[in-house]
Amino acid sequence: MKLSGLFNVALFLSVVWLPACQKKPEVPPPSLPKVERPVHVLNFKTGTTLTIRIPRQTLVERGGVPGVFVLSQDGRARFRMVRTGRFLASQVEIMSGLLGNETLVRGDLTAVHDGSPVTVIKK
Amino acid sequence: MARHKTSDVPGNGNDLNLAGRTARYFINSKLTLLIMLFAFLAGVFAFLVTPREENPRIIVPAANIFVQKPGASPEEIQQLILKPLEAILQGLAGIDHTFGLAMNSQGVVSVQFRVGQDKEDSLVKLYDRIMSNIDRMPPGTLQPLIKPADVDDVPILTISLSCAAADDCHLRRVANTVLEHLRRVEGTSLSYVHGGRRRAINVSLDLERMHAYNVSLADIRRVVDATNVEIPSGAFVGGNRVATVQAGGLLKTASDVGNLVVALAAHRPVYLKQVAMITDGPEDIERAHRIGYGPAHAGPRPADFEVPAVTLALAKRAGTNAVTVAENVLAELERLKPLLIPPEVHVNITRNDGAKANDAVNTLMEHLAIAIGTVVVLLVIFLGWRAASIVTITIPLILFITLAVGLIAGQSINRITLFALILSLGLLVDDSIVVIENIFRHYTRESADRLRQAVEAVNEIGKPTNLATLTVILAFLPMFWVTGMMGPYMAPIPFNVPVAMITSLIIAYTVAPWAAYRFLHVHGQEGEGLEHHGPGWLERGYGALLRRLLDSSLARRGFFLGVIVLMLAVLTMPVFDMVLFKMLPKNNTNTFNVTLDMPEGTTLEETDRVSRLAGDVLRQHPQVETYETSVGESGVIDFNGLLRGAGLKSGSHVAEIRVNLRNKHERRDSSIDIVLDLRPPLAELAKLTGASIKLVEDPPGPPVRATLLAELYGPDYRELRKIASELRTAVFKKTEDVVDVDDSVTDDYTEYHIVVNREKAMLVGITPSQVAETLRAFLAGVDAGMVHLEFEKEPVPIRFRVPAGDRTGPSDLSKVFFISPQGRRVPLIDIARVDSHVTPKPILHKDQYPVVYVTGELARTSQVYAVLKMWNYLSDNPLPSGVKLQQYFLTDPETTGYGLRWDGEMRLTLDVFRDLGSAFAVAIILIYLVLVGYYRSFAIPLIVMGAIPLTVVGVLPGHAVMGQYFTATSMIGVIALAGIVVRNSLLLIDFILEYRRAGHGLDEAVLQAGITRLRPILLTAFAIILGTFIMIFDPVFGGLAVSLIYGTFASTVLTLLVIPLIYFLYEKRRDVAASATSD
Repeated sequence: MKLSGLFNVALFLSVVWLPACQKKPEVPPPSLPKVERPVHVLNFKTGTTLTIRIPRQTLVERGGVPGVFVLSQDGRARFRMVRTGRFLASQVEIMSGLLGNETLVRGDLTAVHDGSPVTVIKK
Repeated sequence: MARHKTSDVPGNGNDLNLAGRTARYFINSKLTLLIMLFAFLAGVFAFLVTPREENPRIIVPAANIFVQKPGASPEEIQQLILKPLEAILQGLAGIDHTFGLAMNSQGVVSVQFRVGQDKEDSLVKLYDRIMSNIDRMPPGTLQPLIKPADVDDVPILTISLSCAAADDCHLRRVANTVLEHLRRVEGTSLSYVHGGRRRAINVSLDLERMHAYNVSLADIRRVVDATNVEIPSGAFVGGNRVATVQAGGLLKTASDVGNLVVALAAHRPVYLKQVAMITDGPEDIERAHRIGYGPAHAGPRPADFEVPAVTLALAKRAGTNAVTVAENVLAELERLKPLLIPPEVHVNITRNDGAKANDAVNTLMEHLAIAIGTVVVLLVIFLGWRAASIVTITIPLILFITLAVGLIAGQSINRITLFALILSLGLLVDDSIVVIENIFRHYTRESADRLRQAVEAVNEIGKPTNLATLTVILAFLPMFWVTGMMGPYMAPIPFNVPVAMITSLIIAYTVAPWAAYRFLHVHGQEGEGLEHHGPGWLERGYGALLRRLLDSSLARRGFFLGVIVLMLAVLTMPVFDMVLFKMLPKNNTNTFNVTLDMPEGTTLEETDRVSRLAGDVLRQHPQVETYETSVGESGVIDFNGLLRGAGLKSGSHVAEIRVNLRNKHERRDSSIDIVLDLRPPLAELAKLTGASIKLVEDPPGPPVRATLLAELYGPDYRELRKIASELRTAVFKKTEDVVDVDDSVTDDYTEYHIVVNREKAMLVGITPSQVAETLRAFLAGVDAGMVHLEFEKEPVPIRFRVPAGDRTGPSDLSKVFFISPQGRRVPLIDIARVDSHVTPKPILHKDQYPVVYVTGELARTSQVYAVLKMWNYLSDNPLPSGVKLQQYFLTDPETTGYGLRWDGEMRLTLDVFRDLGSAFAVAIILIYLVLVGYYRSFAIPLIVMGAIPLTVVGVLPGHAVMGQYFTATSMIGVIALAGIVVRNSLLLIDFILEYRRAGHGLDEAVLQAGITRLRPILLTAFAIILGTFIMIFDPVFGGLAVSLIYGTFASTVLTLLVIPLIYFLYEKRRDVAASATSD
């Protein structure tokens, strides 16, 4: 069965380079984590397609769970669990977990946590 | 002071009643001291040893019977499995309800036995019944699986291990190692790890390569099954030695599995690793578990909002003390932490029913102490310090003995036990007060023999005191027969109050005279408080009022008219909604659950997304400490969930979040308000995501499946589903304050049906069962044995699966092929076609009737009014489709037409009020019978009991003034009041009779008795009011306190006037009648 098309991620809205990551405080603050990392932000187009492909480097694993970081409205990287399909050369198919209208966070994601603030600088 | 030996005491027993004889024996006996010492030690022992629980244990034996018949539709399952199974269970004694669920390929019958049935007996009977009728199951049915839903298996302690860095498989391994140590702690029973993924050898099949090498899944499975064996083959005997022989070759590692030769291609071996990717790691994600930290969390928190977590759950053995078991487990955990738990793993205790029970018990102990202190102050004011001290000594003794009796009877110390003790406090001081007061009265008469006077005093009041105590006991005893789950829940009240009353009577006849004889003096300052026998201002005022009522028939008529008008006015209060009724109000708790139900067919990832959004809402609330999310299944079961059937919920579309709030002693907001705060944002989220989000609060009493539960019955099940939808949208959702509306009808979602062309298949030598098996492996994956690892705590399966990317839709089925017996490759699409249709919906049964449920909760008001509103609406209006529903409350519905039976908390409320009402009626009859026996008159008991209706004057306005619902506990208060007020009027009438026997005229006897009894009656009333005052702020037992305080106040004031006046009129009329007869 052919689905309406392929969802490709192409458009870089902005690239953000922030100073080197701040050292994580020993006693985490009571409300939110304050780890800020250099990240790229890229946007999907909203589409009606059911097949979504994302760049491989946006895919992370947290606690053994595959996922991506989605930019939230309040400017944070929020972890989203995904089910991966086929791995292509630079992309990976997402079978479930993304709606197609999300903005993904990418770059050096090793120290990005669920809830890390992300600063977007328009290119 | 001259001391007598017991034998010197007057009366040889023949002229003394039981009270007198008991007092005579103990008043100067060393045994009395021993009794006090024994009571003290027994009480302390009982206090320390008796198991503590938050609420009384309710034994409801229940089990789920799972029967599988692969391929059968819900309709088939209903006809072939559900109905026969229900018929088999029909005759089984002790069953309360059966709930059936027919799904695709599986039927589940949940059996609920009657409350209080023996657990083991019930389950043995159930097993026996099923197994002896197994031949009635249709062919192709798999062996039924019977799983008991045991209350004792509900974990009392849950420990969450969380870590952002380690994967959940590693966390599960750590948890299993820790659990192995924790389950050795004495008193623990069922324990398990919830969450995390098991280790597996994942064989990810590469369909293209399999295609290329002409290897089918059946080939691979055959090889694995044949290889992974080791059988003891016997032994070699030689040289006087025996050596055992094992044959085979077990698979131990992923590479062992990968190196299996699964086929030959061009005379070369094909290894499994050539057609599949083999990894040793966590199994596929089918569930997700996390913990999130809210603003109220004080300890260290990870950098992530939510981190993967696993939960260790431990239940306690029945009969053990939850407090000590939990403490011991936690002590062991502390010891293990540095040894077994990596430092990056966070440990949170997310449920501790032991601490919860201890906290509840300790709080109520404090309340009890405050109540005792208040009563003591009152006694000092009324009786003076010496007499008050004597009564004060008796209070702990009585409570200690009551606790010890409870321990012997196998009771636990719980909230209800302690409420029963607080409730009885006001009553149990009364016996000693009556005794001491009478001894003092005798001591005021000049006599050298204090001992004789004391015994005579006890003897004098013995009979009325016995009777008064008996009436209180009789008021409470019928509560033992409250049915359903409310029965065992309330049972500590009819147990503890009578025990406390009997003990108080015994102590009043033994310890009180002993102490009074030694410490009570008439002269000097010592008897200061008891000098009230001279009339004070209170007596003078009361005397003047009573005299005026006795003298003037006009004033009397006016007074009676006033009382009647007052009673009528009060009785109309519920009609004008000034007093509202409810089963039990919600309690302020430390936890509640949020359940998420996405439409059927939703993926785990989407459910996970919505559950994280729900987590975002929860995290905003300042009182949320932690929350544990389980996606794909329910969380660790609790008592409420067990009875609601939450444990059966699983699937990628469900999630549950258990929210742990800041300790209730450290916050001002009640959990009820917190839930109310969270409802609007969660409702908004539900609207945005299409999820059904419910906030499930722990009920204050026994749990029900839903607060509002409409059961729909009728001849056509499909029509019932439509009616449910209409009822939901047109009635439930439009009723004020009704939230979390849902029904049992599942959403439409697509099901693909692969229809095998039998002819084509058989021609190529492929059977439909081969097709089904291969497809199962293709889509769901299959376990082909396990690798044999010596140190693994859980089995490590070899799991064959096609990667998710190769099975996204029906088009991927083209990749599936078979090898025919002739060695030819046969693609699936050549022998089968794919149909798509809507998945058949499950069918539910209750007590053999097909049923559809519509459920709802109440945000803040009582379910009684919501149900009544809906009842009235449905009585007057048909549903939008024109169906008119016949409604039922307690009776079975007529299923030839469409009917609705209201169940849930409404049913529980009706049952409880019916049972308590019956208990009240029985209590009144018993009290009447005893009084008839005592007075040898049919009329005087009626006068004595005339005080009972007077309590209403206080009870209903009391609830209106306090803004409290009239609840089941309020009703218990009304029953208790019956005993209390009868006691007062009984002693009043007794004194009138005594004065009359002493030769006083009727007017004078009534007046003097009233004046003499005024202070003791007021003292009893104040003791009850002050003793129970501390309960008034309790959300659950507040109703009981309101009933007692206001009821006692109103009835005391009225009893002091109404009872003497009625008696006066009765005697006057008798005198007139007697004189008329003599004329």
